[in-house]
Amino acid sequence: MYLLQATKEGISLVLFMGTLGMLVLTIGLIMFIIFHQRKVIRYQLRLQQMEQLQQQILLNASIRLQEEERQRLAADLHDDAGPLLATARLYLNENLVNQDKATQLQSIYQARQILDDTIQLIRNISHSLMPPTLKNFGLESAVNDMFQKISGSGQINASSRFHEYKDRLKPEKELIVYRVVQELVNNILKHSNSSFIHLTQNMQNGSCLVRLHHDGRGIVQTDFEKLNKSNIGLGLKNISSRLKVAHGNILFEKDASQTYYKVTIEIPRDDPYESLAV
Amino acid sequence: MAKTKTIENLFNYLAFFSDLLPCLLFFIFLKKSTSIKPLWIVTIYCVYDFLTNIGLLYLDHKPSRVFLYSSFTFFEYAFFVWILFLFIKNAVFKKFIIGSSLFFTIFIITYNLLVKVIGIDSIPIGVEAILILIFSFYYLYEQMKDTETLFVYSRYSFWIVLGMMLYLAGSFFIYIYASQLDPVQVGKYWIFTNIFSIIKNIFFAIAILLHISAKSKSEKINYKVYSLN
Repeated sequence: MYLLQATKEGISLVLFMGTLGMLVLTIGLIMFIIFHQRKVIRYQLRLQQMEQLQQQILLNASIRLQEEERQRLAADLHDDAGPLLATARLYLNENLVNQDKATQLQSIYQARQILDDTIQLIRNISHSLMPPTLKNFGLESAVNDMFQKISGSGQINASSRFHEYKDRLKPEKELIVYRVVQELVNNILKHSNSSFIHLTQNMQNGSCLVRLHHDGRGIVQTDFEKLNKSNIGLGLKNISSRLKVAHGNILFEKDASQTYYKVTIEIPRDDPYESLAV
Repeated sequence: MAKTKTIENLFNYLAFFSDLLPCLLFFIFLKKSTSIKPLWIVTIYCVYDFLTNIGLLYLDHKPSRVFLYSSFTFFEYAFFVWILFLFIKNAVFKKFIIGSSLFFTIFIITYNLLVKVIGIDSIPIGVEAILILIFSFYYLYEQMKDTETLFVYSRYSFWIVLGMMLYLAGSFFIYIYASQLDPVQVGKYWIFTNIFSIIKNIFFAIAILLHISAKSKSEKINYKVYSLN
């Protein structure tokens, strides 16, 4: 009201103060917007850097894992298959030197035995690389097979049940889920000291959900994220990078009753970016 | 006293001729700025402002001066709102701008028909300033939300809006009180309007230069890409 009722003497002051006020307001607002935008951009850059770092960690983990796998393969071939084949060669050499028929037959028989063992060994190595059940009969059979073998050892009670798996996932996705389950089961066997592992499979909103329960020591999502960012936990990083390829998610949590640990893997049936690919 | 008068005159001339600065830049770099509609509008506005100032300088006929002031308020609003309409992306707010502009047009016509304006049409100028400031604030809000822009001041549109905002905010109170003051007093305070008018024209010129330099940079990058191929 004062502004409207100002006398001519007061107008000078009102004009000056009003103009100054308007300017301060406008400039203040513009400065706020500029600084806010800079802050947002800085935050986004930091997020980007963190994501790059995470990618780098995952990449390193996957390279290390690949190297470890190669070393294991090399060790298997060098330590087991190599001596077996060398022994078979020795028996066959003996055949050339010794002309006695009975001894020759004996050494051929021995060599055949060793070659059979070598074939079995190479088959085992091959199966550990790519389980034939997974390739021929799918994820359900491969996981059931894996759980039967674990249960058969008598150390732990393992069971699996697929509820809605009439339409199989794509082979590459099946392999990813299988490897993730394999890694999780290995971790449970190695670290959890649990008495049972139970796996269930369901479908939800076009995604395949695979859930693992166990009653031992476990981790929750925050632990998983921490381990993912640290230099330890190679297996978990491998899980993350595999799931990233399949656009999947993983959730580590404790059961509502606080008795069991639960791990849920979610894999979309259809690739969200598939339709974009030309 | 004489010194003050000289300074006032200096600002009067500077404000008067500063309108030509954006126009000159626009026409010098016509090839690079011809495709940008807001720059065309800014240039036409500056030419119009310059011509109105010439008219006010030489016209002694009072009703003609009043008509010149009133029409300038309307056209200034039209130019500014058109520029903001082109800059703002939100469709709902664009509808709000159209509605507000219709209201302003009806208001200014009714005001000029019903109220006998003696000098400057303070009330329509006040309404114009408030509306343009609201639209400008919304433009800034939109820019704040937009994360595609690395820095808001790297856009030529920011400098145009900044010029408009500072000019309207700085001269708001002077225009409001202009009808209540005698011509001598108005002349005394007119220096503020002149200063903000100069600032506005400088910012318009910066906007044109910024657009030209951005365009030159992008042309250079394109050339590099082609030469690599």
